[in-house]
Amino acid sequence: MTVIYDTTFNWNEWFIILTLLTMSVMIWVMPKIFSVTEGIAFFVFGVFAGMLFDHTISVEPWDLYDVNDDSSYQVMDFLSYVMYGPFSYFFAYIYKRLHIQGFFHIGFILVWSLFAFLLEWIAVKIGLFHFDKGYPMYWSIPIYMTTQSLLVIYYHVIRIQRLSNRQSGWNS
Amino acid sequence: MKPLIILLFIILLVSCSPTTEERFYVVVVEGKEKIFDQFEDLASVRNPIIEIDYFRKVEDAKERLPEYEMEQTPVVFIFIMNEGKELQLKTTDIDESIRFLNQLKTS
Amino acid sequence: MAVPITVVLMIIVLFFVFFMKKRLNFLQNTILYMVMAIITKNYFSIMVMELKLYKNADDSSLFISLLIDREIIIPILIVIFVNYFIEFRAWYKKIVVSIIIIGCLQLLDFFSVLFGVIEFVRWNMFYELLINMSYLLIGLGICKTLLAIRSHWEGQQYDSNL
Repeated sequence: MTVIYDTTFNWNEWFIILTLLTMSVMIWVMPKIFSVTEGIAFFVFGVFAGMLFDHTISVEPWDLYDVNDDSSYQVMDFLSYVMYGPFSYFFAYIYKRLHIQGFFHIGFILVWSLFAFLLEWIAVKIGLFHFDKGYPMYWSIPIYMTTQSLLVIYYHVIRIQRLSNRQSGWNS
Repeated sequence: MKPLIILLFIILLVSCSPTTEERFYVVVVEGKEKIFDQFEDLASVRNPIIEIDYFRKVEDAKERLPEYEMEQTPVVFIFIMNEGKELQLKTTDIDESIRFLNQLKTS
Repeated sequence: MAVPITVVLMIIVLFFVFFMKKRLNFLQNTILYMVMAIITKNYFSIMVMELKLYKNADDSSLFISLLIDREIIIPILIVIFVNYFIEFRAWYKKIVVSIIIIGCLQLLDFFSVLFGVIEFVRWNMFYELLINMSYLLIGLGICKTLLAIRSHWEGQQYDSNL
């Protein structure tokens, strides 16, 4: 069954396009602190994590919420997942720039999770997400925190691998 | 290698060509209350194929079915898809539409 | 039955990929894994929600089995395939590894259908074979792209063996 919430090209579509364009331009313009492959990895991580959760809890049998104008899978839905990519890139970017260490991790991840939650709230208001099927929105906070913690671990594994490769004479 | 890939895609496209199974198209327009739970299990990908579009707004439904009146909501339209759309049932009684669809599924 | 078997397969596959000799580095392997997982997720969602050629199980435990297949086993099998494919120089070895991985993917589909994790609607194992072959080709395409990025933008010459 397809639930149709809206049929016009309005705020939810513009939100995706504008966010994606602005963030991509920002990636392009900002000074590069990662290698191309690392940048791709951090970008893809966001898309991967976003899709992992959405294609798990928003499809049957759980089907807790819908994305965009209707409950079918559309090109705009795909783009909305690509939109997660720049966010995870900038998460790693700012993490590296601020040299986050020790207990500051908790604050950093909490601030990012609250920022993500705020964006999600805006997305619900403009009709990008539809939680009518009973998804409790506060569940997103632990999901964001888990994903961001994994991204921090991923960042450090990449760093350790790079260092060990350098020591063994293998440039990555 | 290239001809092999092209051949594989042609086979894939042929496999996705439409079939001649009996197909029903249902339009549900929501009224004051959400009723999508009641229709969720009635859609079917097997014969007879039952596709259900559930509209939250009557204006969007009017755009999809401009030739039908929708003064009262909730309203359900059930069509059989032959060469065109042929209306089988139009009702504002949700239970009646659910009975009809259940009958289709079990027949 | 489906979930225990899937978990056993997942653990075997994970151990295998952890200990095998990998030609791609960690970063490239994780990108390959994530992109393949994105592709399998989209493939399953499109097949179930849009084309309606698959029907996935209504049962939650069976869906967990589908998730493990889709998120872990299939992408990891592709990672194993790509690493061996570029490791081997002889063509017959490349063909043998392709056949083995396709065999594994087909067996996985067979088990999924057998235990009701997915149900084919106007679909069959031959079409599935074509899809599995496409996965391997896409995996090689991603690998080649990553190696090209490495050699062009990161100044590293790399013998890809592709």
